[in-house]
Amino acid sequence: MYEGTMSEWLAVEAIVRQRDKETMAMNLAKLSSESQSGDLPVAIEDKTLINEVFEPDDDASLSSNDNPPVVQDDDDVEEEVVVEEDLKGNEKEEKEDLKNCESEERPCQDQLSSSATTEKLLSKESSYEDAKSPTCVVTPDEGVSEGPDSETICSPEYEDAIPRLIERCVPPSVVDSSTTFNTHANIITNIVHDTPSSNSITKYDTHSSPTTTSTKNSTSSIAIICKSSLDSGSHSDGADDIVSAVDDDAAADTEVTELTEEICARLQEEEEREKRTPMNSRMASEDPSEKDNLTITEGSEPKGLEAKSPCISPASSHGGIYSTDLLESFGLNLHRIDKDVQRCDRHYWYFQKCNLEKLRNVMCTYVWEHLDTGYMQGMCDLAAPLLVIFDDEAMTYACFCQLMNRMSANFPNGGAMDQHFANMRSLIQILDSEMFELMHQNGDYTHFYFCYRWFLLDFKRELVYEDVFTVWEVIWAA
Amino acid sequence: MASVKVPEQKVILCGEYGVGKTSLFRRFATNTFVTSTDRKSTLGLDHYEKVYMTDEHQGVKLQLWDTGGMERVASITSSYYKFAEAAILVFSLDSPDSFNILSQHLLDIVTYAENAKIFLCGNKYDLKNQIHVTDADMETFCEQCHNLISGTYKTSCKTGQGVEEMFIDISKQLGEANRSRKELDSLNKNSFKITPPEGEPEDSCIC
Repeated sequence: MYEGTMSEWLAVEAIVRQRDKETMAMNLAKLSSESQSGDLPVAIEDKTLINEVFEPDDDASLSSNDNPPVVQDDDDVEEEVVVEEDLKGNEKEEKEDLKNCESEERPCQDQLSSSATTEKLLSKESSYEDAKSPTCVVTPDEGVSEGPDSETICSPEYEDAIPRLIERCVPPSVVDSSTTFNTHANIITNIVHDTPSSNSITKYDTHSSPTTTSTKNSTSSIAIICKSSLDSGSHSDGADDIVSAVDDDAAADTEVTELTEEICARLQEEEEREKRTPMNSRMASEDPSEKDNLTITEGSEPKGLEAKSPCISPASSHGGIYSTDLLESFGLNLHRIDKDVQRCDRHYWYFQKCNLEKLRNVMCTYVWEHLDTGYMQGMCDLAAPLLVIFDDEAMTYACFCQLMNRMSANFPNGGAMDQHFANMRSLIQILDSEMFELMHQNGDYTHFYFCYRWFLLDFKRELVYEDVFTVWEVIWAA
Repeated sequence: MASVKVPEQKVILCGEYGVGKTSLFRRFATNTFVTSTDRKSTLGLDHYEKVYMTDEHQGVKLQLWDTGGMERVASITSSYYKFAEAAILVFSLDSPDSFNILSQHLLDIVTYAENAKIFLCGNKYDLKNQIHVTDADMETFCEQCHNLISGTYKTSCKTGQGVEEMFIDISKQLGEANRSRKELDSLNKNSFKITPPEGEPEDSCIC
């Protein structure tokens, strides 16, 4: 059960992170678009134009009514690609003088893509790349080139992911048949590739976190991967329908070739994004302040558009649709948890890096289950001794939930703290009136706010760990 | 006949979680800095007093208050803000989020401590290559606040840079405000003495 909950919030965490990156990319794009005024209006105009050109494809998708989500995805893909292409087209003019140096980068780019896509059908893609202008290929690469080692780190993972997806989703007959089939297979790969992207991001996230060693985490990540392949499987069925539908429509042939070109560009984009995403998440997880190393060009703008698809598409984890409010509040809580976990009892031997991660998991799980309460300062401190004793996330979580039943009233919004202060005041006043007078005379301390921490954490911060265990036991037994 | 009593000025620290309020407080109180592994999130309240001489005769006793970034215990919050003469809005120069959320804290200050002078402090200035909040951003913020901000500072608790200067400047401003308020008070007492209203005209109902 604990693992189930954890996989839930891990998925949401991935979306939250994606959104963070999105907003950052948007901000950067805004900045850069200011310097290249006039780009955006043109792009929007062209988008509507090309949408009309693709009408035959809409007809084709109508004939495959039995799987509407795929149709939607396919349309999305086209639109985004078109915008992308237009942006690049505009850039092309400005970057013509840069072409020479860019074309030097290109061979390695081609090499990368061909090595990453070992399948036969995808080797066709590189020929399409050749047909395109150099700028189209290189522009998205600029974002990646900031981190020189990022390609080597991330491409193996990508290499693994793609053939697996293709194997699962594309019937071998399709792969081996004529070139027209090959182009359709490209469509399939694209669709398949596109929809489970949220899941694969989740997978990368889990891998990049240091807890990969703990068995719990890996099981949850496996669960997510399985889901993604299930989803993509269902999508490939729909894609097959499209394939046959388009095949019947001979008139659409010319458009199809155009479409494939677009889709290849799209695929290329996807590939770049796949590479970039794990890198981003890794950087984010390591040190949020390193973010400024990421310079994101216009090439990443479509990422913002695409990133919404995890929420809309049925392929998003568990098929649930997360509202913006939920994402925002969970994101805020994550931020707070991160801040607090980092400063929780670091001097104590137990809280080394990997155990901090455990504590974080427990806190995130609790907050995910109690999002209306949210994370509040001090929760970390309450969970920490439990984790030290159990050294087990699930047990700690269960025990922490029980503890919070009693303690949650002490936290802000709970309202019990004022009562504690009043009780304390009365007690001192009656039992030690001399002391009370002294406190009253030397600056008014009779509000007893200095006791706040004692009551909130059951003296956890006031004592060393060994004593905390004893004191807590006494308190709980009372 | 200089009075022995140094006026006590309550100064509060406000700002997001983890921007370095307690680090500022620690610099103020003991001029120390602790490494990240020894830091703890602040719970409850803490305060410390220190006298700053604004000139030869006049000193100001700054009483700096520190609290957690998200303490929202109703009674504590109100007493934290109550009677504050100055509030320092702290944000982290490397985190735009901590800067953008300041408007909320500002609202709290204006609500609970309407007389407080407000200062803006960008902390973690030592992270030179990670600074994401520019001077222009800070200026814009001050303009948006209708010039409620009495001063802006950039500090680094790690190196101690700018911290002492900030508190000296704040104590100067508070000292001046204090003096001018006293003058105003005495002025008020003398020139705007409210004369008791003339006796009510006799009730003239002669029915």
